[in-house]
Formats: sequence, structure tokens, C-alpha cells
Amino acid sequence: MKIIVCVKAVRQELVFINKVQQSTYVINPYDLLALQNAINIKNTEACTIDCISMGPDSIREVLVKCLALGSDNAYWLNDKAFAGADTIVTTYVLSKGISKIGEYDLIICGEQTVDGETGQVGIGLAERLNIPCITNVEEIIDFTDKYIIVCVKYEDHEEVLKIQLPALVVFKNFKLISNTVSLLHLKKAQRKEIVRWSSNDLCFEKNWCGLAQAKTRVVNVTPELIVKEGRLISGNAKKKAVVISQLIQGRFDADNYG
Amino acid sequence: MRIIMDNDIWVICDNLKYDSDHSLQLITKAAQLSLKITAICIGKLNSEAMERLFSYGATKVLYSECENDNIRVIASILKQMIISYNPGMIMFLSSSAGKYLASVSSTYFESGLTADCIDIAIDIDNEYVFSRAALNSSVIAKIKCQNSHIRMCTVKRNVFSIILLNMQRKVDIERFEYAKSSISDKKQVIEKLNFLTYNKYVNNDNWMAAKIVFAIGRGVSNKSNVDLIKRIALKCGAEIVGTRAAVEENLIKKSRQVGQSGVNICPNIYVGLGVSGASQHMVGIKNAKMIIAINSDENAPIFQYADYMVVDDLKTILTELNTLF
Ligand SMILES: Cc1cc2nc3c(=O)[nH]c(=O)nc-3n(C[C@H](O)[C@H](O)[C@H](O)COP(=O)(O)OP(=O)(O)OC[C@H]3O[C@@H](n4cnc5c(N)ncnc54)[C@H](O)[C@@H]3O)c2cc1C
Repeated sequence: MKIIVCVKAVRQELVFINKVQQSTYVINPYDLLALQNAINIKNTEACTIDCISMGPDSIREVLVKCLALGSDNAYWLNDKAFAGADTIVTTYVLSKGISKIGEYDLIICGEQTVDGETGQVGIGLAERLNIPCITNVEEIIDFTDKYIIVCVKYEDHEEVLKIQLPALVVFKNFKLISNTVSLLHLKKAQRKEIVRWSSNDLCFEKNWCGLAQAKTRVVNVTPELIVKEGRLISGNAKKKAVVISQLIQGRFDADNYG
Repeated sequence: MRIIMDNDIWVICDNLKYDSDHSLQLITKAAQLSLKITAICIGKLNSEAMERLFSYGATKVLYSECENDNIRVIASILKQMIISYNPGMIMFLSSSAGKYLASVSSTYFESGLTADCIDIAIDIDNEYVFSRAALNSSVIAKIKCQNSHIRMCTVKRNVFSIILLNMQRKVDIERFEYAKSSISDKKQVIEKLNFLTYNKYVNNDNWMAAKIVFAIGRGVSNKSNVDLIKRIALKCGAEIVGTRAAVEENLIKKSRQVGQSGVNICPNIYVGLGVSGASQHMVGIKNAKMIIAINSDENAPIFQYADYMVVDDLKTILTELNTLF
């Protein structure tokens, strides 16, 4: 049985505000959870896991990480033409990559990415591949060659669903820290081949440029959070605590402070 | 002068409750953007709910009967409707069902889709501009559609208000007959084995309206500090919330997590205790009237957003604070 996991590399500062890792890119936390779930299946069922990722030249380390974590193969869809891809382009390119990989039983995606945050790729991809798609998946309960059983969670209810394969499932949650990878696994992964496909390798329709043109364009970006000129409360701990208590009780006299 | 579009806006109503608050919020907003608002109702017949939509700005209801609530069947019907009528812009709810319908339609029609909009406007070029949070909620991006005939968006709940019109518009409900043969009913491939409803109100949500909140961050580091914070909070009528890191460290319950993947609150006073100030957390309290931050690291990002900054060891400050209430 074959599982394909879609993984996006995202800039590490979007995940960790204090640089805790050496790398520029890390696995998108939502995809990390999806991948880790796939690897858990592999622990009990005989199956192979392929990771597929569309991304620029600098994301190789992320694919190596996928291999080190336990994925069997890694496919890298890499072409300058993919830059600026929105959901429509991403699902188009991924669907072509997946078709080239060939047969599969299950595709697993994360709910969204921390940079794009659109949460549409999984559903759109299933639509292009014409396979059923289940979102909000919390847990894979059973996995056979004919079907899977999953638990899905909505705001107010939970369902257990049985889905015929092939199918695509979208995990709901995310995970910040991956399971630890032994140095041995990492070394092995670094020596493994990563299959790299450009647009020439994927069987795009002739007019794919027209088909797979980005349909959205960002025209303006403004910071969401307001940076303030805050007031520093100084003095010893007792003094600071007094000011805090006055602020909380609405008794702080800003004009006569300091 | 406000620009109003003359092309048709569609609002895809909640298939289980056409006149849900969320649906009405979208209809109200749509009515500010265009003169032609079609509310799409796919599901069971409910004339009362459909007629209600006209009091909020709908100028037409396009209804299609669909006995089951299979979202895949609804998506097929919707596709046929879009092919027949070719609307200019489509607004979906940002619920699980709305997201599903939006993704399927946008892929099928190769149309631009902006997810989780918090605002929609029309610019001087007479084009729709969709606003949404991006880059881990640290920025608001304004997005336009291009290379696509239909513009699509999903809209977050509670970002627009509901306005009841003074004058009800003429009721105009059209029944849409879809080609049953072309419905790719994928029902048989998905089987419901078990269904469990849980009462989402078992957790009392009153705390979300608290005027004062104390936010527990990883810097609180242990249960005895948490207890101390709880004691102080009790004395001054504050509620306890926290960061995701605090949840992962088991310092607080997940239901009290504030931020992008938790809840948003709007207290008068927010006190950050050992909170670093990651954007994913701060967006959840960005409308707080006053932010007080206590952190031992003077370079902690939270100080950029704080009105009052206390650079000190938390335990020391808490001990002092406890004696003052
Ligand atoms: C997709 C995604 C979604 C997320 N959603 C959310 C969300 O909804 N809500 C959320 O909160 N986070 C969320 N996060 C996590 C977020 O990025 C941060 O990791 C998290 O908010 C950090 O929590 P913290 O400030 O408690 O911990 P840390 O970042 O570890 O900060 C601890 C702080 O405590 C200070 N400190 C330590 N010891 C002391 C002491 N003795 N006295 C005083 N100060 C001390 C330190 O200086 C530090 O600034 C999300 C992350 C991702 C990737």
C-alpha cells in the first residue's frame, strides 16, 4: 500500500520566534502532523510513504528531514515557473506530480500552511484527482487496502467515517516539534536520492500556463499588530507591583508617575 | 461616493439553516456591495427561512431541493447552478462545509479564491479587494482576483454585522432543477459509522467576556506559580488564559488558549505573564484596551505591543502583587 504525504517547506521564523533550529526552512507544522500520522501507520501496516513537495531551490533540507523521519521516497517539484503559485497553481502542479508517481492508496495533507493559511489545497487537489476528500480528520483508526476508517471532529460533533480508497484525508491539527531523528537516520537520509521534477518532466497540458496562472494577487500588506511606544515601569519589585495593581484597579495616575 | 457593483453577488447559505446568523452577516455585507444579491439555498424546503433572507438584502433566492446533507452532492448542484448563471462574485461561509464548497468550486472553475476574509471592498478600478490575515496572522493582506471570471471568497464569522432592512424586498424564489444524472454521488464511497454530538456549551464561555485577563506563558514554568496567579486573579476579578506553549506544558487547559489556533478575546486589561509575544498569540488580544507585559527578557517581542512594560522576574513580582490585593 502506498501513502503520499504533501509537505510544504515554510520559513522557520514563521514557526519558531526564537531561532531554535539551524535551518532556514522547516516542515509546515500542519504537514508535520500529517506526516507523523502516516509514519505511525507504517509502524503497524506494510506500506510505503512518499513525500511530495513543491518549492524553490533552497528547501532540500526539508525533504531530507522527511526521509529521516521515516518517509521512503521524496519528490521535489521544483521550477522557477512555479514561483508565486496560489492554490489553483499548487493543486495543479501537485496533481501532475502525484499522477506521475503513479498508483497510490491514500493521500494525506495538512489543514493549511503557516505562510499561506488558505486551507484549500487538500480539497482542491482531491477535486483535480477526482477522489473523495475528508477534512477535519483527527485520527486514522483503521487502514486496509480497501478502505480507511477515520475520526473527524467538527465544532459541535464527531463522526467516524469509512472511506473507500483511493482517497485524500486532511488532518485538522498541527505539531510544532517533530519526533527526534537519530543522527544515523539523518546521515542515511542525506545520501538518499531525492527525485526532482521540473515542469518539463510533468505532463502539463499545452496551455498549462493559462490554466495554472495564479488567480489571486496580493496588492497590499499591512501589519496586523499595532506596535506601541510602551511605558517602562521602573523601580524595585515592590514599586513595580504597586503600579501594576493600580493599573488593574484603574487607579493609576499616569500624569504623576515617574 | 460609494461604488456599487452591478454584477450579481451570490451568497451560499448554510445548507442546514439558510437563515443562520453567519449567512445573514454575508447577505448584509453583500447588499452593501451590489444591487443584485442572490442567496443560494441547497437543502430541504424551508420557505420561512428563505423568505427571511429578503429582509436582509437578498433580491433573489435560488433554491434547489436536496434531501440529504451530503456535501459532495451539494457541491455538484452548486457547480450546475454556477454554469447556468455565471455570477460575478460568490461569498461562502468559512465553516467546514463552506470551505469545502469554495475549494471545489474554485478548482473546478479555475477561479481566484480568498479564504477567511475579514473585509471586502471595491476599489477605484471597480474591482473587489478582499482582506485577510496572512503570514501567521502577523499581517493583513489585501488580495485581488486576476485571470478569473468569477471571484470567490470565504468569509469569517462575526466580522460583519446583521442589518435588518426597513423595507422588505420583494420575495423572488426560483427553484433550480438540476440534472440528476450528472451528480457524482460519491456517497457510497463514504459511510458514516458513528455519530457523536457533544454539547459545546458544557464549557462555560462566560470567561471570554472578562474585563481583566491574566495570560499564562511558558515563563510561568510551574504549577505553584500558576496557583499564585490564580489566587491573585480571584482577588481582583480576573480570568486566566494562556499561550499555546502553556497548554503544551500543561499549565492551563486547551480551551483557555488565546490566539490564532485558540480563541480571540477583547478585554479591557490584558496582563502577559512570562509570555514572549508571538504574533500567533498576540492576534488573539489585539483589540485589548491595555496590555501590561511582565517578562524577564527586555528584548521579548511582547514589549513592542505593550502599553506598560515590566522587565523583571515573574515570581518576584507575583509575590509582591499577592500582598497588594
Ligand atoms: C500554526 C501555529 C499556530 C499557533 N497558534 C497559537 C495560538 O493560538 N496561541 C498561542 O499562544 N500560540 C500559538 N502558537 C505558538 C506561538 O508561536 C508561540 O510558540 C507561543 O505563543 C509561545 O508561548 P509563550 O510566550 O508562552 O512561550 P515562549 O515563547 O517560550 O516564551 C516564554 C517567555 O517567558 C519569559 N520568561 C521565562 N522565564 C521568566 C521569568 N522567570 N520571569 C519572567 N519571564 C520569564 C521568557 O523571556 C519568554 O519571553 C502557534 C504557532 C503556530 C506555528
